Amino acid sequence: MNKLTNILLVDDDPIANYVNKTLLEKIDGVEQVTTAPNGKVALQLLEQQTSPNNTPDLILLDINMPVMNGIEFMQAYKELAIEGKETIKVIILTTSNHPRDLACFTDLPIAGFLNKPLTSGKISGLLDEHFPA
Amino acid sequence: MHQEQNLDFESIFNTMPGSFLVLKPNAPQYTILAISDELLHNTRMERVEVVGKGVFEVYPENPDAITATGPTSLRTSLKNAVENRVLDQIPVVRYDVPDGSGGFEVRYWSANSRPVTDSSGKLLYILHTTQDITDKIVAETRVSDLRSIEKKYSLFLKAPLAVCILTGPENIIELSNDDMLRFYNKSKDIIGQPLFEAIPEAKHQGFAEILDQVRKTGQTFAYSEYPTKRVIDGNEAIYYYNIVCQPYYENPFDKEPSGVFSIAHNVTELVLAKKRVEESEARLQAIIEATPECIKIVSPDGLLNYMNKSGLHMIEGDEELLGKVNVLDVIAPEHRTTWKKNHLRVCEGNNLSWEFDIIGLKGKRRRMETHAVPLPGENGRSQLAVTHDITKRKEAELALRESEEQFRTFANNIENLAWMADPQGSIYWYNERWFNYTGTSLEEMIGWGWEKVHHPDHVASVVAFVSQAWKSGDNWELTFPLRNAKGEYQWFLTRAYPVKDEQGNVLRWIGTNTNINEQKKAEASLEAKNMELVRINNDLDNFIYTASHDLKAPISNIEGLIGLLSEELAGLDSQHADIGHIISLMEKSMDRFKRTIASLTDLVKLQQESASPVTRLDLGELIGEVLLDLEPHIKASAAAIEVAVDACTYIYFSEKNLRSVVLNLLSNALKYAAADRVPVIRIGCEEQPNYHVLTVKDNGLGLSLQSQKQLFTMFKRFHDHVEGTGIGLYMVKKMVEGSGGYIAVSSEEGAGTEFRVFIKKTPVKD
Repeated sequence: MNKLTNILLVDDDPIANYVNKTLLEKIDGVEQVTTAPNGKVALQLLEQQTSPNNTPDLILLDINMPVMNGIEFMQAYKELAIEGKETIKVIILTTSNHPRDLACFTDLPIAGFLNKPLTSGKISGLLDEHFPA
Repeated sequence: MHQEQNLDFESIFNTMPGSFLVLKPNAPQYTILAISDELLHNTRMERVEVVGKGVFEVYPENPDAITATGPTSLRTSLKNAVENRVLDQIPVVRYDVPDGSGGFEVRYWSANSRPVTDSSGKLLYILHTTQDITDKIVAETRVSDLRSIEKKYSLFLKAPLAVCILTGPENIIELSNDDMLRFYNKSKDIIGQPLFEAIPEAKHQGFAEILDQVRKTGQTFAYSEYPTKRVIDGNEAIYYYNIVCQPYYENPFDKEPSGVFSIAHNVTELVLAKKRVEESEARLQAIIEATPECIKIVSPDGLLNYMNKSGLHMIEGDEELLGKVNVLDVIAPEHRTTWKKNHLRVCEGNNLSWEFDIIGLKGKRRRMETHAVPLPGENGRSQLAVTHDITKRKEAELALRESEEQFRTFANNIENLAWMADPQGSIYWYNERWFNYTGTSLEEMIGWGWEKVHHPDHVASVVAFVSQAWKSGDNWELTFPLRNAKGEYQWFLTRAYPVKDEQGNVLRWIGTNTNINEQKKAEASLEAKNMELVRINNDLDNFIYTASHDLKAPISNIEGLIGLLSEELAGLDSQHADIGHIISLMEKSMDRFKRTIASLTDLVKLQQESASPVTRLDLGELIGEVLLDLEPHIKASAAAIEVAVDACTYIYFSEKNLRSVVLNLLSNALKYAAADRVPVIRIGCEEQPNYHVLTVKDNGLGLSLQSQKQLFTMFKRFHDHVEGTGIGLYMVKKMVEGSGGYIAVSSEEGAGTEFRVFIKKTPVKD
């Protein structure tokens, strides 16, 4: 059994969200995959949580989004005080491998990067690294 | 009694002892009525010569002894006796008497005059009684004279003179005064002894010969400033004496001198003082002669009394001229009047300085500057002058003026505005173009007036800059706007050059203002264009970035969807054999699309990283690392790699770029290997004067000549059997050229390709 049960997908692209959600829901043990169209909504979801049981184990975060992009979200997230935050892994999910983009996340609490698109292979790598059985 | 009454009183009177006269009171004659025999005898007179004659007729005044008071006293005494009827006493007086041979004999008398009256008181006679006291007076005088001589003798011997009398051939010391005894440091005991026995050292001072000579010849020996060595208080020193050795004779008729009378006067102080004066004069003379200036003394009538060597050289003459030539002779004719006038003013007591020309005796003209003072002398005041030859200075000044004039002419004819300033930066001259451009006048501009034509926004910084620049003494440049006559400002480049003397002191500044308004405009326009280009470039960069990113997102979605689709259709494969193939083709197209986008991204990265730092790289090590990265490909193709780069151990290049260059060339060599032979890749390096040449040679497919020409073009691919984006060599070329090098290729189809990368040797800065 994986420890990964609750995932928050933050991406403005509904197709990407559809593909990713579909793939993630196939993982054994995953009970809930929530999507947010931008950083602001994601932040509200996190703040509205009443119990640490609802806290996501993994946040997959796109960079380029309207309203609040991935970098702005991370800056806000860094200051966010919620229960169980220490167990959340934030993975940046991006099409970009441009250093200009990646450099923005220095000093922000992220667990790693993954190139889009998400594939079954990449997911199993992610599980091995961050959520070992 | 009668008999007694007939007494011969006259005879009795005549023979009475004593000297008497009976005089008639008939002033002023005072006729002698009777005289005693003793007085007659005493004055060597006969009675007939005397009686009946006036007393002053018989005993007249000695005209050679006008100080003798006898006759005057007698007259006063007689007058007193007559007028006042009293006895008049005459004290001792000198009253010389005729000696019978026309002369007079000195006599001293003591006398009185007594009035004789009858019973009625009538004055009858004057009885004059006198006493000859000549012998007594003479004796008294002798004693006094002797005392005077003794006093003088004593004073003489005490005089600061060494005196001695030496007698006979043995030079017996007859007399030696204290000074002489002190001279030889002897006591009076030596008197009576032979000189050279008593004072042996005197012999060695040459005295023996002198004394002999004086005694033998009877000639006086006199010597001034005779040097004598003496030891006083243990210190030996030379003393100087004026010496006189004079023969003396015991008797006036002696033919041979009895001895020698010697006087020595110590004149050491005098001589030393004289020597000091002489030395001082010699020094002064030496200074005067050594000075390069002309020093001269000219008498009121213009006679050249003195001139030092430098002066004589200037007038091209010699010392023969002194005291003979008139200075006016060497003064240039046009300056003579002034010179004469000034000379006279100096002789009247004024100090003066002036300039004049001289023409030397050989014709050379010089410009002189003289400073003259009056010099008092026996014949009134002369002119003492120190005169410099200022010909060269004047010529230099003239040359400078001429050159300045030439400069002004030149400066008025150039396109630039020009000016001159003093060492402190105060401008005293502008060329005509300045005035034409600014529409100002010299009066407005002189000194610091230029501030008026400066732009108010710039003037403060310009003033601050030039204030510092004047002090530095170095060339300077500055650009600033200047207002023209229409009130418009145009930009000028100002350059200032200091004109210095031999010591490096700034004499003046010369400056130019070059109109650079057009250039400034062009610069501004160029800058605007540059900024535009930078903006375009940034836009392009952003476009590529955005395009690649925005393309990536849908592609990524399609890829993801294909993945999902593929999983969804996995169970249908057996019924639809084409599904797997179609999905595989879709994935391939997707991959190619992704690579193209990746290449575009790489290109953007390269442009952004063109400024990556140049470091010293170990080529062999770097190649080794790249080969390690390529190891799977090398193994797969079983390629033989030969590396021989010892010729250039270190290369200066951006590490990332050189790695990319090597990686691209090696991966190309592996990719485009010929299928029919084992790939052999030779990596070499050679050193050329300006480059390290890295070579990568393969035995692969090779390229046609046409292909070689287009080899480094972006997105150009010549082989379609392998994956590629056509951007690798384009990037290699950019990287090599960006660091000052270049890349060359030689290839033969079917035989292989060689790339030669010329890497600039010197470290490339910036």
